[in-house]
Amino acid sequence: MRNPLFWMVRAVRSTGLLRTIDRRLRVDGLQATRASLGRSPARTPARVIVDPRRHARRQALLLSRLARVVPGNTSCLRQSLACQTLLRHDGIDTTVHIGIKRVSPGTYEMHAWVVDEEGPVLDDPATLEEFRITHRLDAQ
Amino acid sequence: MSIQLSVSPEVHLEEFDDEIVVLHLGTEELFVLKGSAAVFLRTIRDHGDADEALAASAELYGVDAAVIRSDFEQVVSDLEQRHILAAG
Repeated sequence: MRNPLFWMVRAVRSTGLLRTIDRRLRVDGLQATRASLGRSPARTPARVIVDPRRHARRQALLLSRLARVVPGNTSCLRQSLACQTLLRHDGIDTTVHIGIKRVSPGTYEMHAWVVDEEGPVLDDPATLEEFRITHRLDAQ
Repeated sequence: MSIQLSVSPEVHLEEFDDEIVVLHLGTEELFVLKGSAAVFLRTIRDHGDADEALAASAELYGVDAAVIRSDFEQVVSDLEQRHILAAG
């Protein structure tokens, strides 16, 4: 979808959603946050999206850029949950993967990313190989 | 009276060799437990009951429960403060 107005509105909505998810995660935890995201408004008809893969990538990229300027915690998990929620509204089902990587003994990293039927939407698959996937969160 | 302990539903435990990585999904904090702390958390996860977990840990170390009780209670207290374990 190339409509600039759509993406301007989407940027505002993405910002609000990032902040909402941050607040809910801190207060209520992941399970309750996901449940509340699942009660969001109905989907846009899928036929509006001509190239779902490109659309999903653009949405993820928008969130990663917003995450640099939006105040508060805009971690990869928060971005991924927001991305999944917004794409679901667009009729695109994705899965959020959460993984842990051992950097060295006693040092670990956690990462979350969005996957569609073709693979990771934004992340380079090669960089994800070292992560042991602990959670696969389907769209609710 | 023994205390029932449970791992928070927001917490995921992942074992890497001799270390347990504790991922709190709400806060996205990672904790790494090794040595006796990892042993205690494993037995708590497996038994739930604090006394049973203490007894199982003592058996693993081949000592009387009284010998490791204070260490065990300290670990439980730390994990409760970090919202990894919940009592009751």
